[in-house]
Amino acid sequence: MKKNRLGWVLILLLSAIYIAAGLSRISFNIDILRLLPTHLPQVEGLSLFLKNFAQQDELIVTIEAPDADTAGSTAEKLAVMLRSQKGLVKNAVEESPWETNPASISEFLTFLLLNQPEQKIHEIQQRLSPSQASVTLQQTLDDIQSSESPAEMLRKGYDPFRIFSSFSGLGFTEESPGSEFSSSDGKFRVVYVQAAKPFSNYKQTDEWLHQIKSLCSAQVARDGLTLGFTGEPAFVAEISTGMQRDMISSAFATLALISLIFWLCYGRFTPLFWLVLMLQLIFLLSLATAGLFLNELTVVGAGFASVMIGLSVDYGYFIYQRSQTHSGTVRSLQWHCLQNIVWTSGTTAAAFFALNLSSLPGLSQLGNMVGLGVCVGAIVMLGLFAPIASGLSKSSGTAMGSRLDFLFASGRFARFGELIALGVVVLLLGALLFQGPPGSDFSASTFRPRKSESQSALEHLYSRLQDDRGMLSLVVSGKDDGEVLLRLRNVQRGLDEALRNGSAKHVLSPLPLWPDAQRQKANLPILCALSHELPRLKATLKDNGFTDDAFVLTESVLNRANSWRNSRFPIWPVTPTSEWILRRVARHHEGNHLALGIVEPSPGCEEALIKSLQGEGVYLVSWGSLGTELKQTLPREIIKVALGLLAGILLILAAALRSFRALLLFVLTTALVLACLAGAMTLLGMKWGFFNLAAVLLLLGTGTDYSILLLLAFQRNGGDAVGARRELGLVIFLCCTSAAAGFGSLAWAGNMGLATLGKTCALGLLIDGMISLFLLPRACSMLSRKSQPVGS
Amino acid sequence: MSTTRTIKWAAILALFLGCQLHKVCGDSTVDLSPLKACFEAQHDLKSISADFTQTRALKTLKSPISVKGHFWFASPDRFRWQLGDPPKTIIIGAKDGTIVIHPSLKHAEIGALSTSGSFPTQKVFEMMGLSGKRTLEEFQKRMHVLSLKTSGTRCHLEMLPKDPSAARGLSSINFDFDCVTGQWLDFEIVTREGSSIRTEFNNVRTNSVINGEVFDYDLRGFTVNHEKK
Repeated sequence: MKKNRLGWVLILLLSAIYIAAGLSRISFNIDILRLLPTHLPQVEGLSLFLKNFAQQDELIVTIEAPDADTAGSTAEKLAVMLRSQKGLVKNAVEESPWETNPASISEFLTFLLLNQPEQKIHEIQQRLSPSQASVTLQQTLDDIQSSESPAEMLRKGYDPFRIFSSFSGLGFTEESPGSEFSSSDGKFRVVYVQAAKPFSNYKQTDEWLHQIKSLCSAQVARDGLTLGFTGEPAFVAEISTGMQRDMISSAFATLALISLIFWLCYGRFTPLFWLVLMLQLIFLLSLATAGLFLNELTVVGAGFASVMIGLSVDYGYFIYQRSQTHSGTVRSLQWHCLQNIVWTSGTTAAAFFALNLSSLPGLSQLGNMVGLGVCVGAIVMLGLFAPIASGLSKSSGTAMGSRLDFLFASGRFARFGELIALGVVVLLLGALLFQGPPGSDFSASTFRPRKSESQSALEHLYSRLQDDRGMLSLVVSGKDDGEVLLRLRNVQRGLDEALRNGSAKHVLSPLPLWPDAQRQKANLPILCALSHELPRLKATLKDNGFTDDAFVLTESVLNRANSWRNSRFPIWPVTPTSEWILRRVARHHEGNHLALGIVEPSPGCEEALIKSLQGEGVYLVSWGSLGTELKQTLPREIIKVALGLLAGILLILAAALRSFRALLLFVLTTALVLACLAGAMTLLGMKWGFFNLAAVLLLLGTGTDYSILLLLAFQRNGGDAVGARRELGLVIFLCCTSAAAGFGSLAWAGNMGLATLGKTCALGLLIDGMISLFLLPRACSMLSRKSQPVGS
Repeated sequence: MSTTRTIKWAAILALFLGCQLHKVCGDSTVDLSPLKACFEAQHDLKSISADFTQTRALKTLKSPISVKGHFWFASPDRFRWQLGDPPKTIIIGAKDGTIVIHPSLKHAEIGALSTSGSFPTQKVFEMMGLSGKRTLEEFQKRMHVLSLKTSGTRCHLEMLPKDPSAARGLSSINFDFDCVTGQWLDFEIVTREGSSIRTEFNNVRTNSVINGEVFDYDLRGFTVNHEKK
């Protein structure tokens, strides 16, 4: 006895350690691309884009004010205040870095100059030569005299030797009405806030965001001013905490619904208490297992808890039901239940583990987690709940049946159920026939939270600054700088052609900003040599009527070039200002070299443009194109996995049933369930998408159990459909309603995709349960009357 | 880095990168009645023909450059701005666009300057009511009035566009006019980096008949660029 108690304490202690260790390692990944097949070019390209250019530690604070002056002063005030928070903020930027420190831009201008074609540098060298310098300056004076554009005449005044005249067409020097900091009317301003250190988990991100929000709100307490918070940290905090909330709330909702169902069936509190306790333990153990063995939970993985509780409770029901009529020892009860539970949990887990056959990582993760959870559930229920149920049964003395037993034994109830089920099936098939199948929506919006402040702020930012949502991002990757350059040059030819033939309206290529080691090697000595002639150039400048101000740029750029004379090629600019400019254009860390450009396709040409330009290491991506690609590939992928899954189930069933007619009934039932589900979706205005299609797989993994159980019972009862229903009616009802409660609780999840998955699965399970319970027995009876009894 | 050097850099970058450097403190107590009178006087304006002298005092030049030119305007929105004699640059504008012509280069750009906003004279025309019958209220919606001083019949107005993109890099736009006749005397664009471009009008003739051919130009033999919007 004492040894037994010690064993329990040890088990509890080990469980507690295991749970604590696992839960402490749980982290969320909000990247929706982690759910999708990585071999798709759009997924691959967008993943590269988000990983490298999404600015993981940068919060975007937006300010909308009634007038430009208020917006400007508020942005400045916030930036100053945030910069003073050294422990929280590394930097807060409300205007281009070169506006506060103009000299810092000289490095970047020199870098651009260094990358110019050799011919252009030779032309500059020629213009600055002793014989031509004066001529060049006189030409500049003529231009200033004849120009009608103040901007142009002033610009020429600061570049008297015409060094930067070759920079035209770069896009860099062009004036634009707005910027990344301000709308064109100035009433909308943006402050970019960089966290003091990288975030290690989502909780830290959320805490940091709350601190920044309260600091900003305290600083800006004025009517008419609206603050918005977006960017990666805002999304991470919002979506991760939302996932955590969804997971906990749906798990509790499932537990509550299961408790209610159990109470309605048995009306007993003590076994219910223990059952709920076991389910919580299973949930914690499964979550800890996920934390220990899986890297990060995706948004689909977060939905596993309620699904798993809904499935694991089946074993509890089964054990409890058996314990009511069992008169032997605990061991014999466990052994008796083991044979059945191993069979059902084994097939369910196998079905979920089979989701690994899919190339969808999100689905694989859900499959693994539910598969693990089902195994944990079976072990906990057999190991812990069976002794408790046995003890409770013995202490009560008499067997307590369910309050609903009489219902499933009633012929009137069966007939009533059949009529209702038939009516529902006719209604749903009618909807499918006359209103057509549900539409499809594979857009990125289906992956997002239902209500998102960060998304609203981002949408507002798009509407007030430049909206690039219709554009394609050109991502070019390579193993080193040279490979990226080569690919950029290749793709540039395609871009030029696209501009010529009209399939692209506008292109902002990163090619001029990507260093060319060969050009740099050739150009640097020329510029270094020119730097030694600065005194002569300055004297010539003054002789031709220019002031010292006109020489600042020339002097600085040539001196900067000279400072690079011993550098390794390719030369990258390193000052904070240069990094600020390049942060959305280039990445050049060891083994990670990427360039980013923007292409605006002509309407209707997007797909053709992507096909013509995409190649090895070259991606032309957008969220819209991802939706198109998913629409083309995902249904095929899901059908492939579903057929594989179905084939596996049929194979197992063939061995178990050994009857072609029974197999046919199973296939017809499954087809009818799917057709009715499509009809229900049409009626409810739901659309097919990534999550609905995934739900079909889950439905095949769980819902088919009901028809399988009934077909097996039909065989056991020698072709007596009424007997089969009497034997399994309650079990199927309990399993179906519990699983539907598990999935259905996700319908209120904050994440739209997870909610869709929950709704579709719950709907499908209820349809499956209804058809298996009421129509399948009738079909079996009709077939057995016409011919031999089904099965042997 | 010395302050002077920093200011120089700021000036350069304002030009190269299109920075937004202005900060405006408009004076809402300024008496704008002379300006109102100027607008009202222009309501009957049919045409203007005037000579002008433009003085370009750049910080990068030791001495200012002066350029002479001629200006024609016909209500409601046609104008010709001709720089140099013989003309080096001609700008012919209407409501739907602007043509910049470089006769010596046999080159023209259609729509170029009006779309990029680099030809501020046209904006000034619009602001000062030449393009359409402007009222003081409309003017105030678009402009910050920095100051308005009167000396005899001469009024000196300092202003800045409220639109940050139009005001980019500018310190002020100064406008001198006759309070009684509403006639323009000169206008000046002052940049934040310290340069200025001043245009003084003389031989101003209003409501005289202007030959319509003034607003046409034969571009045969010219290379013509159409700027993309």
